[in-house]
Amino acid sequence: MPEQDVRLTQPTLKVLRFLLEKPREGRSGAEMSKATKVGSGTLYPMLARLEAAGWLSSEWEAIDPREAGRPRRRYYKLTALGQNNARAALAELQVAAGEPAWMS
Amino acid sequence: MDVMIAVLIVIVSFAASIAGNMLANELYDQAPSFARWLIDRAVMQLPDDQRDRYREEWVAHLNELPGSLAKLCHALDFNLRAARRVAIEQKRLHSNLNASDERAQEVTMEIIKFGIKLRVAHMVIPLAIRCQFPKIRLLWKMIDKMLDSAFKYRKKYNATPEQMSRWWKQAERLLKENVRTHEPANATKHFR
Repeated sequence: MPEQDVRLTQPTLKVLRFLLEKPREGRSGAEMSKATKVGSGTLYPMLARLEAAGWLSSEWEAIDPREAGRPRRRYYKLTALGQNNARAALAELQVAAGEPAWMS
Repeated sequence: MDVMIAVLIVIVSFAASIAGNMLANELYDQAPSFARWLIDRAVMQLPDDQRDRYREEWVAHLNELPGSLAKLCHALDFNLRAARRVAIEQKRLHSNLNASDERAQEVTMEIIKFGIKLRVAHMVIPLAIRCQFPKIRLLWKMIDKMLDSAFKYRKKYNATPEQMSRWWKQAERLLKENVRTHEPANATKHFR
């Protein structure tokens, strides 16, 4: 996996914070968009970038779309690299903002 | 006259409100299929191998939204922003992969080149010692030059490492054949 530049913008940090709440659970794009209020036009390019950088992994929902009568969701979750980097980025931000790190 | 105009205005506004209401209902009913059409158009901006994935993912996203208007707004967002920007990310990823492929090919070439040098040395140096050729370093420089020019051609013809290996095997066979022809007695000793 090539090393990619991950721009840590405000929406990216929101999404990372949301994913860090339950890092072992996969979250769909719709869930993320609803929880973080990040629009789909910003969310999906960001997810593609984070996935390319190895911070996220994604997989299809384990259902048969014909039986379920709806398309499968794509679930995203943080990789070990993503968890470490996201925690570091959020901690750095808290220190920079003057908020004590232990209050997170 | 004024009464007539007033009645006309009432009739026209009544008809317009009914027509507007019908149009709004029609649009509301058609919104999901229009949203679906927008997504189909959006994924056309993506690379071929990504279209099915994002079509299914984005339609699933729309299904989770309440109301036709929200679906339409998100579909517009997918069409106007998401697809174009995901396509840019995919393009960037592929160009990075190509760059790393190119680098890997360069490294492979250098390894092949080094292997060829060792094999040439293994063939030529014993021969030079046997013939008491005084300048082995000069011989080594000649080998170096020969290989450099061969690898320059690789770039010109965009040859792959496999093609270069094949080329070297042919060259080696010819070289052995030439040595055999000139010094048949030594061929068995040095090259078998």
